[in-house]
Amino acid sequence: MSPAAVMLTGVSKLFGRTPAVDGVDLVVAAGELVALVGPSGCGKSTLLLLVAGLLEPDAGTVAVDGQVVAGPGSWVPPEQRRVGVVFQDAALFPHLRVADNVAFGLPRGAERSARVAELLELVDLPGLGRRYPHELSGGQQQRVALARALAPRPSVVLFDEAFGNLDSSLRTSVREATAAALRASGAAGVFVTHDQTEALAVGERVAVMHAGRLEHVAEPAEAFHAPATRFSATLLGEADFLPGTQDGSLVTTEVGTLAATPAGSGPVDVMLRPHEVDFSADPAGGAVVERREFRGASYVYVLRLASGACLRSVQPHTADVPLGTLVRPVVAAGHPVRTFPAGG
Amino acid sequence: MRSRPGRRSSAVLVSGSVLLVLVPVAAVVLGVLTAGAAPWRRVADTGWPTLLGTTLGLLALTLLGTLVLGAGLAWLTTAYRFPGRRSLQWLLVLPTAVPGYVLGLVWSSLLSYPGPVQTGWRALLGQDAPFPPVQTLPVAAAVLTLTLYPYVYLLARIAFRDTAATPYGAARTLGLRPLAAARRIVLPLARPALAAGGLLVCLEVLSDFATVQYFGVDTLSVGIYRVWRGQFDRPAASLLALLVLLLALVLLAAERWLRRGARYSSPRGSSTPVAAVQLSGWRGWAACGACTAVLAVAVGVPLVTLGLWSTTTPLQGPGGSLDPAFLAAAANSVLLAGQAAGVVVVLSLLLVHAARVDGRRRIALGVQATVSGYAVPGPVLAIGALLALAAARELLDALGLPGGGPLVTGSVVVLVVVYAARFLALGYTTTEARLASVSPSLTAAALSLGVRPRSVLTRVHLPLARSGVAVAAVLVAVDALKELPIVLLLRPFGFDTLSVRVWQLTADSRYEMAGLPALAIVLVAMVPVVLLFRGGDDAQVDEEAVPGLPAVEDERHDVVLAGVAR
Repeated sequence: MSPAAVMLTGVSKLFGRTPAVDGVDLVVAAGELVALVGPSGCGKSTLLLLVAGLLEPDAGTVAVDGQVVAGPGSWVPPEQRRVGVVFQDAALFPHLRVADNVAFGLPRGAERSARVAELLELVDLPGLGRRYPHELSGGQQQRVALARALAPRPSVVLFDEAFGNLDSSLRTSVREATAAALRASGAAGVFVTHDQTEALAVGERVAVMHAGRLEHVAEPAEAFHAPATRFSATLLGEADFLPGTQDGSLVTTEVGTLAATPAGSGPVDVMLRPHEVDFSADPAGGAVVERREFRGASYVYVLRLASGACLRSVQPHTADVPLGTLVRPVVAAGHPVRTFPAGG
Repeated sequence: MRSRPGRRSSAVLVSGSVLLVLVPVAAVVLGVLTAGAAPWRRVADTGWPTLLGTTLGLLALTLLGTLVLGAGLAWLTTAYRFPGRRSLQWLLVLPTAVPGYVLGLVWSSLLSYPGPVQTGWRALLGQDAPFPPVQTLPVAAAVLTLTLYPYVYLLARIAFRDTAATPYGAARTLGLRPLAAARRIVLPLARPALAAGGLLVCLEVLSDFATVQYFGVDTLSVGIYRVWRGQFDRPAASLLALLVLLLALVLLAAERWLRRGARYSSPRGSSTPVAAVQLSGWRGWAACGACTAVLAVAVGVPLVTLGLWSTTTPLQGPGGSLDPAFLAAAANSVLLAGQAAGVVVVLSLLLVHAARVDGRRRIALGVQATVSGYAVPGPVLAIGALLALAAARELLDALGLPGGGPLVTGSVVVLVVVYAARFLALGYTTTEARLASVSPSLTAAALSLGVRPRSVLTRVHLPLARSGVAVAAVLVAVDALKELPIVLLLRPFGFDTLSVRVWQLTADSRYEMAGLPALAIVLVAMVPVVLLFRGGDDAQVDEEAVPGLPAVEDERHDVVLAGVAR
């Protein structure tokens, strides 16, 4: 088994007295794609720069490909780390042609042009080697940046909001192409993003970062359905919290008794996502349609419960329910719902 | 990318360039501390309180003049449309190409008793018509104002355009007339820029001891020159130099205070330019006339006069060839300017590179310290260098090593080193401004690709900063060509440059002879102004001159502009 592509142990970085990264532990396996997601200012980009060697940690150890590159008494400069970086602005060298950009990190030699051709093939841009960066579209620039980062065969490539500058229509295709190219190359990937859709789509695991700390590291489905914290819950998707009383693995709420996780007892808040909530017209249902928001393919209805709490419910765009309709909400999660200690 | 570890070479480089500025300053301070009481008495004999008073008076008058003229012209060309505005707005930078000691030479000759002005005056009003005295402080201040106002003009224009345009528009929609909006909105917003421009003007005035002597005005810097060249009184000279240095520090502090909390000096993002008001009829022509008059006095008349002198004086060489003394001086000037530009450009590029590759706090601080060397007046640097060299000689002699003699009698190498200290800020900021428009992620990308920092310099930073390096080289070379105080104090015996020759010939009242070297200086100095500022409409003029300006910290961008303005 090959060593972890990246291993962070207790990594911290202070800016002045403020910890930007605060005791982070994270292991990225060889060839694994991990999405690092968090709001702006949570320290995720700082963490990435620490791995790349563009910043020095104040505490903790960074290891790349089994070798300690930063830690007490050891330091490997960025140019010797075999860590590729793809930046949001692509950061292509404007004075060099595409082929020279890709070849930038390669030693001089005969295989150079073959490797460049192979990489341009990999990112699906064959034959564009003689262009200059400004002659390419934003999506093409990002793919060249990826090819350039992959050229020296790094064990991991870091993406710093790499798709953030692209149109939303383009973003998906570039993202898919990037993930495919990464898998083909065998390099691990760490995607820093503030976009939860991107994080869930691209990561084999998702790491949720908040105020310099990792709150949850899990597979996307688990992170989404069973988030570790309320913060993770709202970061990864829309969520409402409904008070309830838990008894073992059952929780009783205003909208019925539901299977719950983790087991526990006492007052809790139940996390419900809009797609888990359905409703039907019922004058005695205990809720009223208060607002709705059109999202193209769907409507999101806001239901006001008798207690005053609100639940959101996603309905197909064909479900045209007038405001003020009295309804009965039904939870259809298909899995135990996540509960958090009440309050909080 | 704030802290980036471990690059020994950049630390060495930055410490070296800090020493370039620090050693002369320290030498002056030490010189005073170790001098004892005797020089105080000798300095008292020079009447330093009078010198100080004169210096303060000259500073105040010149500051007032440049602020009124610079800000006024900047507002006129920004907020109003009138005939010739497009050309005038860049031509008004041109007076910067005429050094004070040249403008002073021209006007002190033209206004002298046998000069054309007084001759005409007498022809008009009779032989005994009294003519106001020319050799006065106000006239010296006027001459300095005319060559230094472009500092204020350029900075004010940028402030008006970037900072004040939108609030000005808002004030107009709220019912203020243009002048009222200018007074209540634009002027307060431009205060930091005006303070910065004023500071640069004051530092130049402090450095000057040539121009003012034409007009019999004795400032502290004149005092330094006298006690040094006349009496070789080292301790007294260092005492006066310290006084000048303290004055510079006070001015620096005053500028800081004036822009306290004024972080709004360079906002990011787009701002709409001030919608210029059309001046119709006679008003338009009056505006055009005012600008033209300034240009005529500051550039036109000097050019014509120097041209006439150059062509009518018999060329002193055998068989009608050029004066060999002129040729020798020109060769020395080119040599000195070229070497200074070379050293400064290489150092600047290395410093910019070091600051990019190595983000450690002390590197940034060191660069900052080096850049702030622009605040040390030229005579202070020169005296400091001389004192340091004298100390080095004593050390060499004490150790029984040869080579001490040439150190103190001065050599071109010493001149180049002091020039480097003087112009490093200019070179650095110009280069840095170019590279500032290049995203830092480019540097990071290059490093992450496994390329050594040295290769990042040659493969990424140098190609991308090339235009900035070229601009820096031209600016430094021209500044070095124009420089007078340092070369007067430090030149080896018999080493004349064009500027020294202008000065000496003027001191001997051989004005016509000074025409050719002065004309050469002015024409060369006009090259960068024309290259950098000509063409383009309002929005472009200044941006082209200083690539990537918005990204530059306001402090530095003042220096860039200072450099451009010189």
